[in-house]
Amino acid sequence: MADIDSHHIDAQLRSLLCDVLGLEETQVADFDSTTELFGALPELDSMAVAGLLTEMEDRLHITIDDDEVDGELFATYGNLLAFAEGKVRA
Amino acid sequence: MSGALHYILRDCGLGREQILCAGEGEPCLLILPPLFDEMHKLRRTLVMAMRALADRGIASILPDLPGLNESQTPLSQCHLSDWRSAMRIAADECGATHVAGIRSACLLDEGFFDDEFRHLPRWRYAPMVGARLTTQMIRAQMAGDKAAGRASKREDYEPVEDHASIQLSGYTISGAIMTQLTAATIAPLSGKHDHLVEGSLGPALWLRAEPGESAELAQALADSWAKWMTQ
Repeated sequence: MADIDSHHIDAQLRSLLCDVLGLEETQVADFDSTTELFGALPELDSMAVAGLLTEMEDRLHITIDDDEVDGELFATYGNLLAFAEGKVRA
Repeated sequence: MSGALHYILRDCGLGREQILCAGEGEPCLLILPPLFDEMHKLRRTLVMAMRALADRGIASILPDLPGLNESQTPLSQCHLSDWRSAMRIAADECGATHVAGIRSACLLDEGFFDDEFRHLPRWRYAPMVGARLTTQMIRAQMAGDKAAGRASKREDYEPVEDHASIQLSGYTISGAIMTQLTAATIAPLSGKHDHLVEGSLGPALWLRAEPGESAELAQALADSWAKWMTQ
């Protein structure tokens, strides 16, 4: 979809991390591609992952298969963003 | 003085159910309970909103769904149609004049716009289709399985037959209601006084693993309801 650029996907991801994990906008604004998520953010547990996946599907209009979700996906913000961009452009 | 809350018990089709009431008289808002975990995440803030609405002189009720919260009805015997019917009965019993739904609760407002029942104006905020709710429940269950060292697949939790019950993220539900919920859509609002909230009223507590409470959301809900109900 040509109208969805990287900046838009990045903004959507940051916004949903705020909403689902209850993080402050300023904290999420400081995330870069190497920022560790799973294991580093106490708010991000396996239940929150389930919520994040469903919310990503809804806001980015994508479908995520359960076998696409592995430990690496939520390891860093960069991994999550790359995954989301790949899904949106697929 | 904040509006006092009290409970009443009424037969809502499958048994006596608890209805939480705030304020008295008309207009009276029926707050449809969000389903399963969404209710736990929103209940405290909804009750704060009921008190805030009572402070504005408007009554409201929050009934239990058969099988959930304090209900003695076995959840595995409940169908989606039982829930919708229970909400109509609660509305009649308490003289509700308006109906509000947040998230999955909007799946319950369908019965308030048909020829067999007096029409009540409906208010919706962030409505969601049933398939998203069941997907979310399956994912939560699979996350729990994984944490417990059990491998599971989505197919393990898809309904096989109507009468076989499924254990899903802490709830025992029938295959029938799982199928009904997955197929449930949000019908378009068609009434002259129906209202869909655009934009955000506050933090999306229903998404959070640790939702807490939000006075901001409670006040915004009460403001939105009061404005809509008295216009």
